[in-house]
Amino acid sequence: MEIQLNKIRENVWEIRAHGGMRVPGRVYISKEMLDRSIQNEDALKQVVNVAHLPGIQKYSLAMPDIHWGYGFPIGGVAATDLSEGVISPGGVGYDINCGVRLATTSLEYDLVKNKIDWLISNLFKNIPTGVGAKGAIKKLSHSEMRKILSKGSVWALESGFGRPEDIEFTEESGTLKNADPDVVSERAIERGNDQAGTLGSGNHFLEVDIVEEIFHPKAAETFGLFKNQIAVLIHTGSRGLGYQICDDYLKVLLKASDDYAINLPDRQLACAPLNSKEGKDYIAAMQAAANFAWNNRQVIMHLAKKSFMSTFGMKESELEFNLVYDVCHNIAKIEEHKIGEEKKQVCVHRKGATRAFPPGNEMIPKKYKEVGQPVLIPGDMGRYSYVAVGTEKAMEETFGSSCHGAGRNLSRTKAMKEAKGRDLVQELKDKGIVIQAKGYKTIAEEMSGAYKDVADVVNVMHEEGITKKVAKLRPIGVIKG
Amino acid sequence: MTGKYKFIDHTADIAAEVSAENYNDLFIVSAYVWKESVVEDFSSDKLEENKIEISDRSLEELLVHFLSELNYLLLVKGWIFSEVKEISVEESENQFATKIKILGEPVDEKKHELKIEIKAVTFHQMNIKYSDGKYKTRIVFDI
Repeated sequence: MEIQLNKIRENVWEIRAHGGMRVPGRVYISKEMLDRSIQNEDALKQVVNVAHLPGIQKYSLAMPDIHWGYGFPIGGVAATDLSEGVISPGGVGYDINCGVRLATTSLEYDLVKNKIDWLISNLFKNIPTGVGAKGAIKKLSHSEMRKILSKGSVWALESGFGRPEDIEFTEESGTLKNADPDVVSERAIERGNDQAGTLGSGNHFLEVDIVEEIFHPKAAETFGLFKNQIAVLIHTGSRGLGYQICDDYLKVLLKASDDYAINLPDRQLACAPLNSKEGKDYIAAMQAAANFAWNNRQVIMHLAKKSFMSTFGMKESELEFNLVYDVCHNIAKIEEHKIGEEKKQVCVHRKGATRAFPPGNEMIPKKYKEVGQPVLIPGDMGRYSYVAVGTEKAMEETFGSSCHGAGRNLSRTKAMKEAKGRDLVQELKDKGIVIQAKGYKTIAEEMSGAYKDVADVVNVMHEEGITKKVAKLRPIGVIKG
Repeated sequence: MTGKYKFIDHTADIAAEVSAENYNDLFIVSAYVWKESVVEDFSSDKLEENKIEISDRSLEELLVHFLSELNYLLLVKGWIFSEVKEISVEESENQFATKIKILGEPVDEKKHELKIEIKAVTFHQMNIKYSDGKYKTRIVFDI
């Protein structure tokens, strides 16, 4: 059945509440993007499905990078009432707290360009990538793993893998306080063991970027960004530990959905009341995975800093490897939002969506209070990524959320066919990008053309005033799994 | 073995249609879909035996569980499945159970070329239906 979309504004479309939908759906997307890719996908059906969740508030939302996901679409945002609402792992994803971290350096392109091959080799050597990547740091005992689950980035700081300011510039200061290792299965801990500080495979990466364009000078200056500056973008999540927690709790919540008589249009939307034992246990386990992910990106950042220092023979004080921000884009969090005339606490699910809080919000670092929270939106390895900033309009319309990336355009099989007979490494080199990956297959599957143009996605959010563009980053070096 | 499978194009992940005349073969053919997804074909003359004994509330949950066990053996224990030696899938009141003997070996980086990491075996479109003399379902792996 074709889903009827009613135009609300230039880039905002509404799906009227029908059938079992408790609220309408709202999709932020341009007409061109809609015609090009979305209408044939099941993603819109998933926006409708999410609107069936008990306790959902205002709208089932989708950001412009909407594409098909498990349960929620990728790019899906939904807030649920704390007393009547539910929590669903389908609104978080398998890779709990998959996210992005941006660090800047004092280096400019001219100083780096002749050593980029060496730098990428060092990064590739020091940061394990690929299927089952492990061993970035010494193998941790079971009790150390539990500490990571409780403390997140603070564990890295205490273990010599970071500085206090790194914590300050991480969403939630890198620790969700209600995490409970006791509700994490032994199997999840086993799966995540030895993976702290590793990138993994698939679309995860570490990029060395050049700040190519500044759109919002005041915000850029506040974030410490300047033109031609060398920066590092890290995209990874909670690795096997998070996947296993999602897997474990889907089973628990499938049963809970039956026990609480919650009718769902899709089993991947399995959920439990937020105030039930099952719901609370999932939240505590999800928070533990989120903490593991923040620690992971913190350790990777530290290993990247060491790689830069050895490549360029620089001291830490000269390199100025500063964290701009670390955002998660697969998470559910209890936040305060305005619903109608009243402000209340709700559980915001962001599945492939980034928190985008406005200036003055108490949850963002003091240094950024005047301009708003940095929103990091990676593109593909051959084009560009963006830094944006949150606005008040995001709070009014999207529960303080924005887009998270480009989204795939081609399946991996189609990308492989497209890559046949081409030398993608050389093609990237011709564009000034050095790449190292575990295998050529990853490079082919993750080729630039396999992704949509992230600029289209970012521009929709910019034009609608949800986030404002701050800077564009262009890759000059990439490591992948 | 009566099982058949066909990979189908999926934008982000891996999907396949599987069919077989009985539950046992459906599980066996699904295991081969998992294997073909994660590793380049390999042969060995020194395979070891491993056992999986699981039970679940539905056949779909049991199949997801079985494939998740293969994934666990690979990713945590470093042991790659090669073939099914013995299998029996049984249905009792509100319960499905299986005892499976599988053959495989420890992962050797020089010998086994791992293709991707399956994050999870999903429930998406996992719906085992009987038609035209066969049990059929789709399997989707999140990668």
